[in-house]
This record gives sequence, structure tokens and C-alpha cells, in this order.
Amino acid sequence: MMVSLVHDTLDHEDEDENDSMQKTAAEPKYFIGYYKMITQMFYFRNAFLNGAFLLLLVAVASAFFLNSENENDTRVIGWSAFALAVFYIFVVFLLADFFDAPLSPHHVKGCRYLAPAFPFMLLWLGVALGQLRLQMKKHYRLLPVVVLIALFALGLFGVAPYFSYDQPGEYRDLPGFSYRTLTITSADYFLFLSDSGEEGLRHYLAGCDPAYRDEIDQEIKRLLTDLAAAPESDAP
Amino acid sequence: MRGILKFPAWAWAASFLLLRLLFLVANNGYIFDLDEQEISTWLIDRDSHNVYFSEEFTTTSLARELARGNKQFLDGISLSHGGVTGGEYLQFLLYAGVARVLGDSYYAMKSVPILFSTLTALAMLLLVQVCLRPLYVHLLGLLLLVGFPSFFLSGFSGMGNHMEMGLFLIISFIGLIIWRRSSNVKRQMLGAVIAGVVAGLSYFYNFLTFVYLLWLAGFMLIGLVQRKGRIKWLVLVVFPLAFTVGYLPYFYLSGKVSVEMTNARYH
Repeated sequence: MMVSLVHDTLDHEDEDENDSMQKTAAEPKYFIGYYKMITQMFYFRNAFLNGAFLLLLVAVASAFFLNSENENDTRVIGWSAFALAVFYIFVVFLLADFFDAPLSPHHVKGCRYLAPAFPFMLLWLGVALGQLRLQMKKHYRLLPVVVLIALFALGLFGVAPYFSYDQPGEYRDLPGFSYRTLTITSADYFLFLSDSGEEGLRHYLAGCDPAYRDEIDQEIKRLLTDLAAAPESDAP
Repeated sequence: MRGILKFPAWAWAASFLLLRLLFLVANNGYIFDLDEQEISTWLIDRDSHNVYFSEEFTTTSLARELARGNKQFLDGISLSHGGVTGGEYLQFLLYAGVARVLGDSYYAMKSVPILFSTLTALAMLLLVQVCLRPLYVHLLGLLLLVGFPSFFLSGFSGMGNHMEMGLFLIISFIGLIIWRRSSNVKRQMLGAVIAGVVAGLSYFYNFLTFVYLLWLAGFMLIGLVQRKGRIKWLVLVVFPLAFTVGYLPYFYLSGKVSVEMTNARYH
């Protein structure tokens, strides 16, 4: 995207800056853009591909559970939901990509679509464990406690790699972890908005962090020289 | 000591917050020493890492621009996948406010998602404390503390993951429980209005919440069938209206964004 944006701006270099801004402002605007509906469909598809149907099963079970007035009616539902919850957590832990799991390399991408349900899933798991604790016979009442401790330990084990004791902050792939080196992306947006090419970048750099100004300056120079060497037909 | 035991929700939420702050402090070291090679790799092979890469970088950069006083991009740009989601707008405004107070820093940026995720955990724990047994508060608190690793991570990336929409959903769920448990018709409708407006806002906030909306519809239908005669079917009119009211900002903002610009974001 960045390259093509820079290319576009080079094409429009001869035009007056104010003219291009006016052109942008005069574009037709829609009450409800068609593109937005397509976007929502994209979300639906991905959510179901990433396991939202399992979530729905858990959701229906929990709806029955929370709607019922008599707690004794919920025994069967509690057991079935416990099975669902365990299965679901198994899936989520696979998606969580402990050991470079082949199932989903983009682990956060997969779990993202379940993000609104995480607190409810944990609640449901706690309720299922509590139900087991209350309904089981004397000798087996330790079982849900063991399951809970095991889940807690598994969670700790999953989170532990993010804490480094000898090299703090070694875990670098955390999305959105650092925001300090993002300025070139913002420069993309500046180009996109102002449509003023290199001048716009200079103007932007005047306001950015001095520690990174030189690096970005070099990066921009490199990009511009690359683009000048590239043929025009490469533009998308 | 007894006071702490009486309000375990606060204790669990505080430990939730502490663990996340510890994570931030422990990982602060590397932020200032990325070399140019890494930066350029990140910039060019954005999609090689994960899907948030470009999204979070662009949105957070824009938030920093807003904190500095550049408001021009708010006029006509689509801030996420071509559609208008309120999450980006709200987080921009929140971050800009925080950055004005604390300064433009890493902690200022991360304080917004951490605040949201802590509030989500607290709301969930309070909901359980009111509606269910105290046993479940401890169970949920222990599970929330580390949870799934993905749950832990999602609380840190404000743009893209939208962990914080759980907060909307829990408030909506509280409205639903008011609707379900009260015998007074006015109070039932009040609960339905709260649930509807907040659910509409949550859907405006991010489209991902549609999964929860399906759940909500199932919950309402099951409740209507089970408590036949004691619950008014009027809720089937009131709830969609309230939902539309909560979703109104979407229509306003999507009218401001042109299709041309949303497509330009993706070429």
C-alpha cells in the first residue's frame, strides 16, 4: 500500500496541492456506503471460520442455564456445557500457539474473532466447575479443583514466555506492542491525506520525534529512489 | 481482612491490573533499541507477522497525531477495514485525552486498553457477585487472572483486538438480567432498553459483537418461551428500536466517509 501511495503522489506531482484537496472534498458521499456492508460480511465469514459456531453452542447452553429458575434442572445442561467448555478451551489453547502450533500460525487473528466472548467463556467455565463441585459425590469433589488448578497452571505456562528474566522485553512479536517506530506508517497516511508527495513528508517530519527523524528520512529517500527506478506499469 | 473477603471482586480486579502492569514494566526495555533493519522489515513485510500489524500501527500513529493536535484525518477517513467502527474513534479520543495529561508515551498508549480490560474484568466479577454464589467469584477471578494466553495478550493491543467491547456486552447483559428477573412491566422494558442501546453501541464499536447478538436473541426467545405470560411480548418491539438508537452513530459517520476513500485504503 505504501509504495503505491507514494507512486500515486509522484504522478500528481505537477498538480496544485489545493486543487487535489478540493477534488477529495468534492467526492460523492453516501448515507450508507455499500462497502461497509461487504466489510460486515467479511467479519461474519471469518468469525465462523475461526470457531464462532462452537461459541454459539456454548451460548445456547448458557442461555438455557441462566434462564432456568430451578437450579436442579441444570444438571444435564451443566454437564453438557462442561464438555463443550473443555472442548472449546482446548481449541482456544491450540489457537493460542504455544509451541508454534501448525493449526493456526496467526494465532491472534483467530482469537480476535472470539474476543467479545472471552469473559463469558471464562464465566461459563467457572460456573461449570462450581456445578461439578456442588453436584459430585464426596470422593470426587476434588476433581474440579484439580481441573481448575491445571487450567490456571496452563494459563501461567502460556503467559510465562512473554516475561523474560535475563533480557526484559525479548518478546517482540506482540502486536501493537511498540508504538514508537510507527511514524512511517503515519507518513503513509499523511501522503494519503495531503497528496503532496515529498513536501508533505518533510512537513510531517518536522513534527515527529527527533530521535527517529534521520532514520525515516533515509527510508523515504530509499523508497523514492526505488520508485524512480521502477517502471510505471508496476503500479496497481 | 474481612472487608477484603467481603469484596473479593475488587481484590481480583486489582490483581488483574497488577499483573498487566508488571508485564508492561518487564517488557519496556526493548522499545528504544530497535535497529533500522528491524524497522524496515516490519514496515515492508507487514502481513508476515499477523493481521494487526498494519492496522494497529496506522491507527495508533493517527492517535498520536490527534494527541499532537492534527485533526484533519478525522474528517473523511475510514479508520478500519473500510467500514466505520466506533472503536477506533473512541480510542483515538481516549488516547488523545490521556496523552494530554500523561504525555505522549508508551504507558499512556497502553493505559487505554488496560483500563478497558480491567473494567471488563471488574464488571464481570461484580455481575457474578450479585447474581451467583461467592464461590463463582473466586473461580472466575482465578480464571480471569491469566485466562487463555490469547486473552492475556488481547488486553494490551488497543486497536484491532477490541478486547474492551466485552465491557459493553456485560452492561448489556446486566440490562437483560433486569429484564428477565423483574415482574414489573416498566422495569422489564427499562432492562430491555438498556440492553438494546448498549448492544447497538457495541455493534457500532465493532462488528465482531454479532456473535454475542445472536446469543442475546437466543436468550430472549428462550426467556420469552419459559416465562410465557409473565413477560410482555412488547420487548420484541422495544428491543430493536433501542438497538437502532444505539447504532445511530454508525449512520452518521458512514455518511461522512466516501466510498472512494475506503477503497483507496485497500489497493
